[in-house]
Amino acid sequence: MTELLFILSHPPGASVYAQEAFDAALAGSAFSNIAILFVGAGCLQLIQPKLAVEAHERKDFQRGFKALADYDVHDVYGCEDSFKQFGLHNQALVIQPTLLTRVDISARLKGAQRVLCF
Amino acid sequence: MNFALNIQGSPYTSNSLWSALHFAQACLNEGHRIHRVFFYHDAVLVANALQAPPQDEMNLTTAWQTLGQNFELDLCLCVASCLRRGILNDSEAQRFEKTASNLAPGFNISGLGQLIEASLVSDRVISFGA
Repeated sequence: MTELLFILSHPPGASVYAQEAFDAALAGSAFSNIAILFVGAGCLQLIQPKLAVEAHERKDFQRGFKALADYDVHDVYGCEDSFKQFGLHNQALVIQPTLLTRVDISARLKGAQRVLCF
Repeated sequence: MNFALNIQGSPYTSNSLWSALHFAQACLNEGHRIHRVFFYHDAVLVANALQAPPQDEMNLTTAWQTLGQNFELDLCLCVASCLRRGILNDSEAQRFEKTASNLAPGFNISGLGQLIEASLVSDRVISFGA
């Protein structure tokens, strides 16, 4: 059972929020069984960065997504509607989340003991 | 009911800290408990003791301090968020060889583990987004 569900909704790049939210999820994984759900513009975090770090001068925190399995985080979800909205189906992604419909998302929200929104 | 608050928005460019303050006041006045208030992202800027807003404006820092004192709340700031944004207590100022500290009284600096612990032991965790 998911103890903590982290909902990530901020896009990468424009602010440090996405990076800090991922830090919070990693901290959560150290203490409990967590799941991560990317929604809205948060799904843009999953796009494989096209610029070298030297070009945008920001930390390439999305590389950490690949290490989620090492942190025992296996439940990584994306909102199917958001994927359609942002045209992500044919994009190269850092990791491929399990896509959820709105109905699926409602079920995940109900099934989680606590939900943390970022 | 026992609540944990996860506040993320900046004091002057978001309504997050205001909404959270009113939520906390309403909770406590109704007899609920707040296990911890966790300030994350830009919300840590509320604990900057050097703020001096005009006297005819509400002082958000003072409002949180007063609420914290009246109800003995744990007003906890994320250390990583603080260090990025220049909110330092005496020990962090010393550690990073800064000339001054600026953490307002009533707030304490700790780690993300405090947010996770509060989320797990409370009945509800309420996020006030950026």
